[in-house]
Amino acid sequence: MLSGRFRTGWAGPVILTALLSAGGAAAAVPSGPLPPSARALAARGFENVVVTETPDRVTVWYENRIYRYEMAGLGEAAFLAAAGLDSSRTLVMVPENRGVAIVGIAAAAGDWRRFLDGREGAAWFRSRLRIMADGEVPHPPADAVRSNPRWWRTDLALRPLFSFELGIADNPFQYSAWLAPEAVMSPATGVLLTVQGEVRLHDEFDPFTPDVVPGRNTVSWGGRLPAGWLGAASAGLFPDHRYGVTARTGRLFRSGTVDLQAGGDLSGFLKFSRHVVLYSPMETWSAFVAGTYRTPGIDLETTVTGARFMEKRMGGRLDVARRFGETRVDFFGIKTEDASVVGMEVEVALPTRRWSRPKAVRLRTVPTFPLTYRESVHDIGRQVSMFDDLERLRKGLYPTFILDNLDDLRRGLRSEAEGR
Amino acid sequence: MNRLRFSIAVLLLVVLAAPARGTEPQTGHASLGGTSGLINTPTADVLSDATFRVGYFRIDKRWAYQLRGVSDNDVYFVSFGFLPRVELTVRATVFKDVTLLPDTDFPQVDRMGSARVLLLPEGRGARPAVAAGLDDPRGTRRFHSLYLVGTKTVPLPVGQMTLRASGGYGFPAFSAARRVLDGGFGGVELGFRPYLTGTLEYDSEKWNTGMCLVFLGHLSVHAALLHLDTLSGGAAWTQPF
Repeated sequence: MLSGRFRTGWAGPVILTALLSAGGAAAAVPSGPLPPSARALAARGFENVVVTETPDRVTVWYENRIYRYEMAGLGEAAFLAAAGLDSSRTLVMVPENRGVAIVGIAAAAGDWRRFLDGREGAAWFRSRLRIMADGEVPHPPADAVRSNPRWWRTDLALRPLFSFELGIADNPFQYSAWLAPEAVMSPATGVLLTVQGEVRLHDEFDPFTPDVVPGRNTVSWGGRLPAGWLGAASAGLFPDHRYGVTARTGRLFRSGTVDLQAGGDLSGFLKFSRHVVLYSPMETWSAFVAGTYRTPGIDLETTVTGARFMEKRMGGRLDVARRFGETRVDFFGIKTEDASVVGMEVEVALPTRRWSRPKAVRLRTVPTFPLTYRESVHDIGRQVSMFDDLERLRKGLYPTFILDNLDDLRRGLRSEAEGR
Repeated sequence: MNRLRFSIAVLLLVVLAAPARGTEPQTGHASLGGTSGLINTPTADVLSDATFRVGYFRIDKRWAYQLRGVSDNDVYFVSFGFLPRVELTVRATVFKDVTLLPDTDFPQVDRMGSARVLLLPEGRGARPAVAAGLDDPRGTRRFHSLYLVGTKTVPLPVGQMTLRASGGYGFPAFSAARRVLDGGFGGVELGFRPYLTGTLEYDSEKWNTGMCLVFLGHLSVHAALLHLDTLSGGAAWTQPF
C-alpha cells in the first residue's frame, strides 16, 4: 500500500501567558558610561548588548530578535558597531541566543565598513575574516552589564500548523489545520519557556480530539558545557503526544566543517481526547550519536546518525540537506532492523523579515514553516521532536554558512535604506 | 476535436506570451513527468543550482503510462536544483477515475522520486551535455526509468532561433511495473524566441509534439499532442531560492 505522511508543527492550550508576561521588563539601557557602539545597538533594538574594549580590539556581544534572518541582524549590528572605530582595530561580533555566545566573527573595523557599504566584495572580505567556533568563542565578562536585556520579555505569536497524509487506502489525502497561539519568554541565561495551545480549524485524523488542546509546552535550556561543547535540554509536553525530557550535546570541529552530536530522550504518551486523557508511563527512550560534515562553499550538510529509536529498534539515518539562505531542504533515509523509510523536510521562511522592537509583551510572526514528508505513516525511526535543539540555539550561524553567505550581511542594511 | 482545442490553446498562449518579452530565458523546461525535459523524454538539462520548480500536468488517459484508457494521470511535482549538476524531483500522480477501495470516492495516488546528474556539461565543439537519471526507484515502480541522455544546442542563423537535439537510452536494469523509457528515445526542441519553443520527440513508444511558452521568466505553460493526436499539458513555476 502506498502511504505517507506530511507533518508540521505541534499541538496544545495557552495556560500561562499571563504568568509569562507578568514579569516583563522595560526596555532598558543602563545609565552611566557606555561605549557608543553599545548605545547604538541597544537603541536599534538589539538586546543583551555587551561591549569590551582593549587598545587593539573591540568585542561586541548582542542578541538579535529584530531580523528574522540572523545574517541580516549580524550585518546591521556590525555596521553600527564599526561606525567610528579606528580602521585598524579588530571588531569581534559575537551573536548570542538567550545570552549564550554562539560564534565569534572578527575582522578589522575598516574591513567591516568597506564590505558592508559595498566598496568590497564577499571574496575580499572572506579572506580577512576570522571565525571562532565553539572552543574559541569569546564570552562576556562575568560581571558585564547587559544593555537592553531580554529577560522576561514575552513574544506572542500565532503558529500555523498543517499536517497531511498521502496514500491511506480509504482516503489518500487527509489533512488537519490548526492555529497554535504561543507565548515564548527567556527569564535567565539559556532558559526558554514556551506555552502553546492548539485551536482546531480542520482535522480529518482524529474525530475525538477536542477543539482546543495543549500544544508544545516546554522548559528548555541551552548553554556551554566544558571543552567548548554546547548543550540543550527540554522538558515538558512535546509534539506527537509525547511528554518527558530530551537532551543533546554537540561541538564543531575543523573550522566548523565537522559537527558531532549525541543525545537522547525519555518520554511517555499523553493525549487529550474529548472525554478522557490517555497516557503511558515515562519509560520509552531513544538515543543517538551523529556526525555532520558541512561542505564549504555550497552549504551542503551530510549527517550520519546511529540510534536506538523509540520503537525499540536499532538503526541509522542519513540526511543530505542544503541551505539556500533561510530555506533548508533535507532528504533523508532511515533504516532500522526491520523497516526503512525515506522522506523530505523543507523549512521555508514566513513573512515578515523584520519584527518590531522587543518589549515586555510583543506580537510577532513565527519565522519559519516546516514541512516533513515521510513515505510511510508507520513508526520508523521515531525520536521525541525537540524543538529547542542545538540547531535552533545556534540560529543556523555555522562558520561555513557565514562564509558562504557573506552577501546576506547587507540584507538588513538594504531593507533599512529602503525603509528610509 | 482535440486538434481544434489544441489550436485554440496555442492561439491563446501566443497572445498571453507578449508580457514575456525581454525576460530572462529559463534553462530547460519541465517535461510532463515533472523532471527537466521535452514532453515525455528527459534532456541533459538539470535545474540551476539553488532553484526549485513546482507544477501540474494532466496526461490524457489515452496515452497515460498508468491505467491507460481508464484514468487521466494528474501529475503534481516539485523539483530542486539541489546541488550544482543535480536535480531531485518528488512527484505525486493522481488517478482521479480510479479508487483504491470499493465504495469510496477517493482516487488512487502514486508517489515517486527522481534524480538526475549532469555528468558532462555541454562543450563548445561537438561535445553534447550528458546526464544520467533514475526515476521511481522504490516501491511499485509504476513510472520507472533508468537512462543516459545527451543534449546538444545548435544556434540557427535565423533571428534568435536555436535548435536543441537530445538522444538517449532507457536501460532495463531493474524490474518494474512499467518502464517509461524502454530503449532509444530522442527529440528536438526549436527555440523560436527565448520564451517560445516547439518540440518533437520519440519517447521509445510513440511520437509526440508540443509547445512551451514562458511568461515573466518563471511561468511555463505546456501543451502537447501525445502520439500527435491527444492533447495534454499543464504549467510549471520555476524560481530561485
